[in-house]
Amino acid sequence: MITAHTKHFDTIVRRMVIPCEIAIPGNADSKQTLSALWDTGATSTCISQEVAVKMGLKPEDFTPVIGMENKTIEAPLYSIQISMGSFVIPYIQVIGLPMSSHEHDMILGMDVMVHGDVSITNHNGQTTLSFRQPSLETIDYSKEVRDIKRFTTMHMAWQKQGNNKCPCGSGRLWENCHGNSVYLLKKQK
Amino acid sequence: MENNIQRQILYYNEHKDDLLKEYNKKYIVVSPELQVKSFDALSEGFTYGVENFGYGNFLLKDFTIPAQQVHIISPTIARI
Repeated sequence: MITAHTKHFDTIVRRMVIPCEIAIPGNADSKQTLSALWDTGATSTCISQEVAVKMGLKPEDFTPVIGMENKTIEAPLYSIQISMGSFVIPYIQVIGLPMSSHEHDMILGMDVMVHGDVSITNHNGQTTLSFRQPSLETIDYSKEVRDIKRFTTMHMAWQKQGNNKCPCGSGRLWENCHGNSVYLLKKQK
Repeated sequence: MENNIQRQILYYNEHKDDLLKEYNKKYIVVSPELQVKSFDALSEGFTYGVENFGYGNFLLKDFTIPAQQVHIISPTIARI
């Protein structure tokens, strides 16, 4: 099943914090809503140890964690379920850590993001975070720019010969295909 | 921190190399009786552990990630 979730922010943001529900797998009564910071610099997801205790989470492993002052602590690992809208990860092991931030009590790391596709856009002065699972396609902005430049050049040459088909091979008219690309529309503004 | 898996952790630490070798790329559950069972998915290991030993009474180890891999939690915190 394909699921997706999107968060629109009112402005450009550098910290993407969104509501995230977590629960002990198979125990719906344990559900809690946390403020989760999306962090592509984190390889693993962690939750506030305070929340873990409150929820009654019990450790199933421990892992060494190096803190700010290079002090190593043993941090507990918990299996939880994560839900954001229809986007659900039924089982994932997360680390319980003391968190001093008042803005978030969870960090969503790359171990969550690898479950699907994630995009961050900043169009019209608003940051939008959108994600889906499973991964459906490769998004390659470099290729898109290369293609539109190549197809535009070819289209101009074809147009002189009376051919208004899109050079991409879709069979559609240029205006209804790559000629309608967001890259060209932006350029015209 | 109080936990019910201290015995399992001691067992794991004593047999770490052998377990890593035998159960590479698997999840393992170490029971209160120190019996080891492997699984392909976290969900299978967790469910087995809860059903057979009760929540919080088993060690669930993830061998699907490289043992020496450093996990960065934030620019200033790393899991090793």
